Amino acid sequence: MRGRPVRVVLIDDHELVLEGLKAMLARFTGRVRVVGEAASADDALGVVTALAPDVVLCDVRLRGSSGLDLCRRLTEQHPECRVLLLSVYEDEQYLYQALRVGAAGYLLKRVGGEELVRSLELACAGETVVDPTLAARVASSAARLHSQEFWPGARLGLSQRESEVLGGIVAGLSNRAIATQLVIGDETVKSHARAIYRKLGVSDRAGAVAAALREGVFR
Amino acid sequence: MSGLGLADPERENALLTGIIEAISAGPELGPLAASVARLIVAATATDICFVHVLDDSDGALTLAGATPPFDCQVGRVRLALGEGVSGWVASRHQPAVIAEHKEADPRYRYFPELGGPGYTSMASVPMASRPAGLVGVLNVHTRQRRDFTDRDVRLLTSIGSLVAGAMHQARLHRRLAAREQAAERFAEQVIAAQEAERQRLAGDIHDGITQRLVSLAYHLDAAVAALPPDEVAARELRRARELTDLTLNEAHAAIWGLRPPVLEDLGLADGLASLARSIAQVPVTVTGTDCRLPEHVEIALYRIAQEALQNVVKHAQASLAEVELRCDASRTTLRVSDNGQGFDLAARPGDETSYGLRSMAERAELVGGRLTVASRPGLGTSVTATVPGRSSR
Repeated sequence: MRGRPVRVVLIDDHELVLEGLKAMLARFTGRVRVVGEAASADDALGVVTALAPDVVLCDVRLRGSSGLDLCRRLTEQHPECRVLLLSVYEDEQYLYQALRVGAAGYLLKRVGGEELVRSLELACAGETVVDPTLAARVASSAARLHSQEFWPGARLGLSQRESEVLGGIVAGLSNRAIATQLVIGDETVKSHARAIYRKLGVSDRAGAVAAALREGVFR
Repeated sequence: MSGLGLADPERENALLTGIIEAISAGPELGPLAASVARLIVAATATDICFVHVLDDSDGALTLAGATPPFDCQVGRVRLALGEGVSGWVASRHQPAVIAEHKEADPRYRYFPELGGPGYTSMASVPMASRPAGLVGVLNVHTRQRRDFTDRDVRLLTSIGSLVAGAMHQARLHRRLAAREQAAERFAEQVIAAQEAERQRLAGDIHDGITQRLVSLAYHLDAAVAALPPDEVAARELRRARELTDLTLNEAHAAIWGLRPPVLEDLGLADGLASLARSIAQVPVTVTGTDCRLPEHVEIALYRIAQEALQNVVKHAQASLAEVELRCDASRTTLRVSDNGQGFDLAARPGDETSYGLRSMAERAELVGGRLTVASRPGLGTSVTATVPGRSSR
């Protein structure tokens, strides 16, 4: 696949995990070479600066500090270096946060040798790599949100209540009438309406109605 | 006893009215003792009055009320039974009168904070009634020399017996309030200890079991790769690797149940998003602002959301639920609402529901917030927790 093996630095605060990773990667010497390792965020910065690896494989949690913070610092200081985060947590929020701090991907620690090596190569080549199970789950929630399964306007960031209020506005009801219909106070309707205007980027009722129709919120 | 022994019936009437007002004003010891001290000074034409009340242990007296300028010493002066003139009066259940040279009296003890030398004469009587027993001691002092008469002493003693019952009630009230406060602190400590223990356990599982399993999985992977794939040993090692992954999943589930790491690592908003996704039975959306709050507040709000969503799943028969987190300069609001069947708040909700609501309310109150529940049959339910402050970490 490549001329020379991917040069990798491993960062994990658990010695056992570092050893396991090295054992698992040992048979892939032609494709991946572990050039260094660190067990803390502070050591990691020095090691990466000294060795300039292609990819850093880093645990999301480091005792006393966060792998996410380290990832942000590494990608700021070494933009050419790709950081792959490795985690035991199969949770979408970690994936989002990882991508926000500039990670080249998010893998789960249960990853097998073959898959890990392929991921390291892809990351080195500039791809974003995400654990397939997690990626599938994210895609399905995105699809659900896009199909407006929750309620009209959910994909525009409207809450359930705001969606109901917007429905009333589009139907031409007054705040009072909306309040009566939803059994809430007039002031509550007004504050929902303000939130709706802000979220739709409009300044009044007419704007909100226009935006709702344009976006096809109510069909 | 014919009246209080005051010569002037109008003054006696005024004193009685004052005492009735004082003892019916409220259950607090402090205001009652202060009013009594004020009334006594007026009724006896003395300069200052101290009201000493027996402690709960009944082993010592504490200054519970005084006329200015000594009112600032209330709660600070404490004397053992038998100590000082008041201690003597309390232990003997007898009045004491000292017209002058009190320093020479063997019973006298000098309390600098009570301005001894500025006052010449004093009278001290037990404050007691038959039902309440000895409750404390009343002292009056004058700057000018005064020979307190039997009549003066009788007047003081009568006032003491009139207010003893109320004073006793006030002591009981104070004791109950202290006990209630201790119970609240206890609940707080229990919750804090429980959370700390969960965090410790989750941390231990993460750092111990989980990381060893991860390492084990990698070594097994390496071992499998070193063998020809159809060899029995390779098959067994692959099976061992699968078991390791399953065990790892169970360790994650245990950690997540104890203390979701997402809360600690990414904060409340992400924690709530993760929680919402973990509810399979009802689609739950999360809206609002991201904000970092003190850790114990984030945990309280997370647990409230968890409990509220469990209620939605168990009781609401809702098709949608929403978790909303709002932070502004002065407070943070968490709202969990659903479009389910709701319930009548006026009717007693089922035991399980009311227990759930109570535990949510307790969690909110323990971090200085409050919980409100809005629900109506057919119109869904919303649970709102409001906590003050937005101190970012």
